[in-house]
Amino acid sequence: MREHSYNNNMNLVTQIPLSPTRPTGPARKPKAPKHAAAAQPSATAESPSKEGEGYAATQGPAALAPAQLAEQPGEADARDGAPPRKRAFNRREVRYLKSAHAWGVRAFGAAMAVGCVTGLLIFAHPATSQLEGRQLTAFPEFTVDGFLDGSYLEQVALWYSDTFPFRDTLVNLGQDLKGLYGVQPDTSLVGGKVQADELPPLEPQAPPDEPAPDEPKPEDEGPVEVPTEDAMAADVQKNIMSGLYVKDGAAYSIYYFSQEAVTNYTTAISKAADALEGTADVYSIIVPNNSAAILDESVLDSLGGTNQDQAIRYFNSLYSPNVRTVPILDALRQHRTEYTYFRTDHHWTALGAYIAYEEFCKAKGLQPVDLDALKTMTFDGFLGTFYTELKNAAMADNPDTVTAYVPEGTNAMTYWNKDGDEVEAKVITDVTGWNKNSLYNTFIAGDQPISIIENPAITDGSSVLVVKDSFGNAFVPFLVNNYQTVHVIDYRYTDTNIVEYVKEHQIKDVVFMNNISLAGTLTVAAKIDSMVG
Amino acid sequence: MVFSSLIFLFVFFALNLAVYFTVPKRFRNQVLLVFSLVFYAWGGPKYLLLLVGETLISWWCGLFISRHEERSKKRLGIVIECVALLGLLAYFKYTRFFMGNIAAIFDAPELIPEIFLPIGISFYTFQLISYVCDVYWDKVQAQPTFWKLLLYSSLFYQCIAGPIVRYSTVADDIDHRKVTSLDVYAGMRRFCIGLAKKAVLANSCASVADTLLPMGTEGLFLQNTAGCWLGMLFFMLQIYLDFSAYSDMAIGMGRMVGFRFLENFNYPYQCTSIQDFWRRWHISLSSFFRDYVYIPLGGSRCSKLKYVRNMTVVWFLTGLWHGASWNYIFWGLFFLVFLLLEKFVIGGFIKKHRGVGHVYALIVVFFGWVLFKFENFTELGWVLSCMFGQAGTGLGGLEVQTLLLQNLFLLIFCIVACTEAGKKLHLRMGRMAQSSPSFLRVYGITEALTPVLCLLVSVVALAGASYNPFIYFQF
Repeated sequence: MREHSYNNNMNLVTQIPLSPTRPTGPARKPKAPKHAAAAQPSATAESPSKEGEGYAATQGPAALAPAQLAEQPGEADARDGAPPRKRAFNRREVRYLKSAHAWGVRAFGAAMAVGCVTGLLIFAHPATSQLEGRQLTAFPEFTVDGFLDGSYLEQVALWYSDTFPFRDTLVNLGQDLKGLYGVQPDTSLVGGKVQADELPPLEPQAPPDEPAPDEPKPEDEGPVEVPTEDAMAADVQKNIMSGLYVKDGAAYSIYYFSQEAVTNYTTAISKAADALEGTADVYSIIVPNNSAAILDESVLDSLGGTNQDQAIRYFNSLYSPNVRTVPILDALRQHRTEYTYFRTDHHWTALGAYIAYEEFCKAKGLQPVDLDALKTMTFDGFLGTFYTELKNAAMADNPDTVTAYVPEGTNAMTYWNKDGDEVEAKVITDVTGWNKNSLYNTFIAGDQPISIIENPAITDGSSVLVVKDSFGNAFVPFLVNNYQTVHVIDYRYTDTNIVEYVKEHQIKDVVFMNNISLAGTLTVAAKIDSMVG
Repeated sequence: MVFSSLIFLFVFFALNLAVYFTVPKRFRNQVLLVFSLVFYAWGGPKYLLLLVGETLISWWCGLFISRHEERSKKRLGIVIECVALLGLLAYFKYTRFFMGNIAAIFDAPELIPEIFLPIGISFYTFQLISYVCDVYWDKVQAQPTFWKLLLYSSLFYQCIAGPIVRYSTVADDIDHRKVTSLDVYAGMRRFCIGLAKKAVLANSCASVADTLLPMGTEGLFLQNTAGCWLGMLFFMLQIYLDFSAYSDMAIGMGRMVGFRFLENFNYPYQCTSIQDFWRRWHISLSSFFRDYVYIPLGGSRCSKLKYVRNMTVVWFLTGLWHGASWNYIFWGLFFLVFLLLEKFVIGGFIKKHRGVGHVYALIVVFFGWVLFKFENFTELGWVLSCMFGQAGTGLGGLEVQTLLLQNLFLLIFCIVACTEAGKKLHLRMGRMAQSSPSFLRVYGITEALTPVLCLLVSVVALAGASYNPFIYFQF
């Protein structure tokens, strides 16, 4: 009896109870007939189908793993497709298999127990993810309504899985698992399903003294709500990562033009410049994405998206005449074979920022500092945002190097963090040993709401304010060589009124520096607009 | 709470197993009932009333039918059951649909009420109706104890996503189930395989399909021809792997404690005709419609006209059951057309030419899934025209090529997973184990490790699914 059940077809579901010492209960019918029915669920309808087996063979030799996953040990079909059995399992074999199954059950039980206990260690549930740079789902507040309609418990389940202990390790393993799903092509396109607005033709004859006459339409619809940090974050993330061209371990982001966002952005900056007319000179620098600065024209055209050269010209055509524009794309393209942008991160390198700085100096009539004269710091092994998003193996094999140039005169700065606390920091921080995805933070202590750098080597009273996103971080250190005081505002983290700030500190030059994808985001435009009124 | 979530796995199911196997045997049903009610209440405790209420009605109707001899009284019992349960199902599932249609025709009513669909109502309603019908037809004895019937209807293994278990299948198991060590092992393995099938294969296919066919967004209308085909192929794999994985897990968990549910899928993509497909796909549903609608209407032993009527009713209802939207109804009727075609025209031919039948059936099923996927007819029409190169978005592109290459092994793996190749390999390995002690050892080790490896890979995949890098804070 015992051998029989194992032998019959090796199919563990159609079994007769294993142990002969456990006879079938008297009140219970033997199970076997039921399983015969299970094997041919269609038997009651019409003749049972036997057509299936011809196709299994055409699937070719099955790998071990898919076979195990695909297994449906539910049907007794030994009589159908399988070759005839040789002989029964003997007593020794059955004993061996029984013990193997017992070990299998123990291993399962142990894994479940470990998982259960680990998950119940509330204190081990992380609140943030270093890996992803985000706050994890918080444990929900209890409300009676939320409990009754199920949303409370659903949130608890979400919290549990999002903050499972050791999640970053598990997530990393999960990403490795995904790597096994296929081959990583040298050239690829991720995302790209974004519809860009049509870029309007440039009209150079547009009257320059009428800054955007019919543009501030959004304002007619009442005050635009100031976006929250999270809303802006989500929007920006979507924009930067919406289309990525990946080639040879480097990613290039594609730009998609949005008419409304660009109009709002340029209107806001024009507003600031008009308000500061006679007080300060306002400059706008739109930083292109790396695709426009580096890729071949032919490749660029094949990727879809909007031509950034034309888009930046369009940006610049919309400004009030009080805004002085500094085009940098041509200069960057002249150096396109050099290391102006990172491969694994969407930012530019200090070299890319230096080229923009040279163009700014040209426009301003300043003498740019000689790059070779500056002391450098170098940090290897940088795997930035593109890598975090894509987990591309070619990137991991060839990480970026961050080079930073310490300004002449000083390396000290002061910033006020989100809580308003004053913090002493360095213009160029030694980030050796930092997390490999955070090395861009070497520049001006990362993104801080408001920072001030005083250069004691310059005493001409000159001052500049840079209103920037993170692209400005690599740019600011060079300005320290030319100005006595450099003020930096990261508009995403503060609500300070920019016009009042400039007047209060008697700043003479204001530089708005934004990446094209960010400047083309509705939330960013709305935020800047709220700070220049 | 879904089976493929960490909280189900490591809190709910782990505690369930621990408690179930520690309490004295006589309390095991109570343990299962309490866990099942908690499981159901997780998705919204107020709907627990509905589940308990429907079971109460069915329990009473069952007893009412069994206690009366007169035919008219028996009939009254079944009428009450059907009116009450189908009425509730119609209210919760179809009110909005019907009112939406009425509103579209008559411009009234203007306000269509928000009604949330209680989890699993489609499944347990059918289970309870089948129970009362079986009592009516004397196929089973009425269950005198209310909470035992509640255990049948609420059992968390199958309550919210099937299979639609017949009462006759488990009637005996409720009071007299026995579990052998082989049951525990085999059930556990089935559960783990199902979990991996869902967490690794189905979820990954879903992610590719959703990337290629982002429903409800403008992105969908930018997809090209190759993208639409590939997206639908991944959807076809996803829907089978996902659904059958749920059945695997339900059957496996039941088996671990001694319930023996019937199979719900039998490698449907190996079908050689549409009729064959429906004998292999969601068997518990098609057999429900067969036994409780088609055969009572007269089945096929009647005039041709009546047969067509019966089939139309069954396939209309099958479509409607899947969702309150016209596309599901068309999906049901789409299959009706091919079933009638097979019955009256091409049946003989495809029986002779199995290869042709197989290809034909897969193509029909494939386009069936296109109908099934898009509730929005603008999207549906657009995707169909795009598949035949009529949308003007081009034949292919780098993005589609990238996704194909990045998921090539997954695709092959999933296709193999839809066939019985795995089962055959398992049988062959068992046979080889008899040939030498070393093969036996390998076989034993595989048997011992397969479930736990599937479990671990699933946990990794489930944790990985929450990967959501937020680059903004690293700017």
